[in-house]
Amino acid sequence: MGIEYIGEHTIWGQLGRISVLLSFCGALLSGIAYWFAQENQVQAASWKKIARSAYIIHAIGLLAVVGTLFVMLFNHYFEYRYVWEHSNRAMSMQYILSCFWEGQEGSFLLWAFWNMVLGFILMKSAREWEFTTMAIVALVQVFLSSMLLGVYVGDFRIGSDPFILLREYADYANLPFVQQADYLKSLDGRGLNPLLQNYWMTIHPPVLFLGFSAGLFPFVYGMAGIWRRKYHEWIQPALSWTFFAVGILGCGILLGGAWAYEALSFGGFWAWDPVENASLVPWITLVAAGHVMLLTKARKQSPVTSLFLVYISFVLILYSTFLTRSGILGETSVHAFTDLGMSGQLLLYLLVFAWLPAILHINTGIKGWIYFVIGLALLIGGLTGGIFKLLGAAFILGSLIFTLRTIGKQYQDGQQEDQLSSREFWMFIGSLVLLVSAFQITFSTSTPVINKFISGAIAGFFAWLNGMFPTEILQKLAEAKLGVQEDPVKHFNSWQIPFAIITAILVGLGQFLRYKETPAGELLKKTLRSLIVALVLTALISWLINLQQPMLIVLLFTSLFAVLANLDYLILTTKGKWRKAGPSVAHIGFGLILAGTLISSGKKEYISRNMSNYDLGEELPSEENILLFKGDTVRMGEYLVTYRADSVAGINTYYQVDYLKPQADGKHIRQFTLSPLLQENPRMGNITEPDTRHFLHKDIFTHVTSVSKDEPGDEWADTTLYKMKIGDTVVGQGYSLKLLGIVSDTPTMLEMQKGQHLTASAKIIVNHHGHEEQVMPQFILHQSGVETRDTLLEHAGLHISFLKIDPQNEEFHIQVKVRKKTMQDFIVLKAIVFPGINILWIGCILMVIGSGMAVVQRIRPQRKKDDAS
Amino acid sequence: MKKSYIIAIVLVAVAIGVILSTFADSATYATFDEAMENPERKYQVVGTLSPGKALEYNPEVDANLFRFYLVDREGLEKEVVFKGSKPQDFERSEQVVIKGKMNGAAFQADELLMKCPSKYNDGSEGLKEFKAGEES
Repeated sequence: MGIEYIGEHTIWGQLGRISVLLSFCGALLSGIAYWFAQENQVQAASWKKIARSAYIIHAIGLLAVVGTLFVMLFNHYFEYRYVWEHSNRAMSMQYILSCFWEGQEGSFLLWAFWNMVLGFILMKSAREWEFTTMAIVALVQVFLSSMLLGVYVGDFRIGSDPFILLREYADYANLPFVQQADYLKSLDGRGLNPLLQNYWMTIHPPVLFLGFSAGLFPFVYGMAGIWRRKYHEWIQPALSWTFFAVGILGCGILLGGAWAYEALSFGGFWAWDPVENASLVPWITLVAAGHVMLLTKARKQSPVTSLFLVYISFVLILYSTFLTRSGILGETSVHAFTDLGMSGQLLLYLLVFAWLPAILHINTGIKGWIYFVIGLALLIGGLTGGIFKLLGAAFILGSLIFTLRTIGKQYQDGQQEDQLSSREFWMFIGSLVLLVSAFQITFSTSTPVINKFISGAIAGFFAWLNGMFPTEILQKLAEAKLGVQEDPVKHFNSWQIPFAIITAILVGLGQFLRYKETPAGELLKKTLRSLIVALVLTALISWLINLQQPMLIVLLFTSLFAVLANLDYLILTTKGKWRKAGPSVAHIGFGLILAGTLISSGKKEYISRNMSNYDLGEELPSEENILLFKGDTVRMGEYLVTYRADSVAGINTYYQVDYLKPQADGKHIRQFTLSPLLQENPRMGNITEPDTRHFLHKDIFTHVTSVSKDEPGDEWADTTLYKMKIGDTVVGQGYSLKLLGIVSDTPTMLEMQKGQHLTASAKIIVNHHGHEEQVMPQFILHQSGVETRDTLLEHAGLHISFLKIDPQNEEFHIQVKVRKKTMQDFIVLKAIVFPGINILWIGCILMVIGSGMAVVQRIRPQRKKDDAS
Repeated sequence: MKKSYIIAIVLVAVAIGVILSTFADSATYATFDEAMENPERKYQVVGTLSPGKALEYNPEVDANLFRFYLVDREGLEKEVVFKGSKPQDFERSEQVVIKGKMNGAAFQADELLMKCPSKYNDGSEGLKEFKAGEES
């Protein structure tokens, strides 16, 4: 029977599992009770009590899950798979938070935790909106808690249990050490991926997930608006949530970019990587949502666009979760999560919320129920694939369009088209540009999903189409084998730069436009200053940094205009009243981000050019790496660079690279030292991390791309045995031999007995790299055995021995050993100068501050109103 | 004409442009065979390093030239030329994804993605990306 395992702390696992169940059931009960509170007006008060208590139970459960996982991590309970996978004894405790959310389960937990916390704020602040909004929050929590359940329904596993024991986990159950009863005595965890042992991993995920959580709340209000048929009233309370989400999610993305720039060797802060895109897209749509909501509120316009934007923002957050966590990105992203077998569940999560507006819209009577049941059947059918996925997708899209159209129809009467000179018209256009920009990024990032979707019947259709009109695009679709873009940076930039140009112009003009109508003269008068200064600055900067691409010059101009116009507005119109300054500050930040990005990326310079004399020809235009021998000094840009030393600390090797500048007196003065490192990462192989020197106007970014390796073993690399006849010539690597003849003195038997030897000398001409010399290795036959007198050509690195005489074949066996090239230590280095990158960071910070100011500004008057009533 | 119609038309046009450009710009997963048939087109080939064939990287000669042999999923072996430095531990990679096109008998790769095995075989391999630089 089973083994009695010693020293396991199974009680914690049980506590954790009970807590997950508590969290799941609490959220479910809370959601149902809130639904009844809304639908059943008579008993609303008692349902509300139940719903709130259930939500508190959910919160307690969730906190207990978090607490249990921490206890397990703190105490190194390696009997648990999650602890074993993500921590070890050697690790410093400051990274325990990183261990917590390194795995998928932990990051879902973090997400659920923030939702839960923000849910309480909503519960306290929502008032008449509490039932509807909290019901939806509770539904989200049901889904997130289910990600941790790890129970099987038939063959389908729901969630992944973070409290499963190592020896119970299918992948590890057969590891030899878990068969021993006392396996825990010497067990150590696998540890946190060393790449993630830095402060970025401690701060980036919680901020990003707080941003994702915040993005839920505008959606929740929008859905509650549909549910309560109050299509306008939801906007007012949702606005501060929207700008909160914009600020925090923006901050999370910025931290991710900063992490990539500072600690990873991507060679930049943004690479259009699918995972980066997945977090950027919801931010863009949230920005659009915030602006359109302001408009809808101010002008009492049709709320359809606002509803759609808060809806799509949340759906895109779910979609990005699906992309990064289902393993579907597999071969296209550097940092996608591996598949935990939850892709079906994640997809269901996405589809249910994509369908939610229609459910809430139709939500009445028996008709609603029939629709709901048919829809559910279609969705589950869709998950099984085949033609059903097309039906399922069409069903959701159709339901959404139907819902939004029905709502929109109520606002068609009496609606006039906006004037071309009105603020609302251009704000709307700006939001559409943002939406299209988000669509472009999403669509291009989704090629693996498109492959999955069109494979089978749909690809067959394309194949048929391609048969009739053969084109390359149809060919690709028919094969359903779309890869990532050939050149992602170029592909995305070619779309996003024009979008950025339009957005920047609108950001600059926006605050000077009036609602309804703006006199053209007034607009020109107010923006002329900024236009002229922007033009002069653009010319100056373009000349200074030698900016030549026309698109980038236009973008520089428009983003400078956005900065200046908003600065103008901030100083002259709001007159420093900080309560009204939020939008201007955020817009200035936006303009600076664009300008900083285009200057630092557009004019980034590889100073580590290959300076060797080798003509590499036109075929090798990209020479970003430079070879540095230890102690050598090489010119790199305006610096002389020396690879001075290296030092080892644990699994990290730091390479000290000195940057020197020649002085007038001919001496070189060290300016600074960078220490890029190479990490022998047990999980990912060797990884390099850059080191960057920051200046006010530029950064010098350095990382090693390759290093010399000492290979253990013999000093002789290559040994070859030649069987030669007299007069033969053989050619080896870097040398040739010619056997001229054999000189031997053959003693008589008597002499042999007296101790004389047979000595044969091979007369060989060695040719190495053009030098010729004669050598005479010897073969000596004793009475007791064989001895050789070898020749060592030290300067040529050759060791030549005469090993054997084969009288039958008249052959002489000559062995040549070639000395391994004693390589000097070297590193291959890449160094990039990013000019003006600080403009980008300042812009990011200003935008976050501006969004924060907008939130505060919206909460305050609301409070006053509330207090007055 | 109403402004909203103009906006709608522009939107649809841009959306179609976005969709077409995504398809047009995306590389295709392929085998060497397909890449050889169409040397003009860029492909993404998945394969493993040829066992027993040396990787050639001599930084003292050229730090930006790395050659190796790759076997694609159908077992065809080709030489791959990458204009960049040899990624550390490239020998250890289980699977390599190369992006680029055929150039004569060799495959000219602009980008390498390598999958390294982890210490324990739990599927949490790291994926690393290496790019040859943008043309300057």
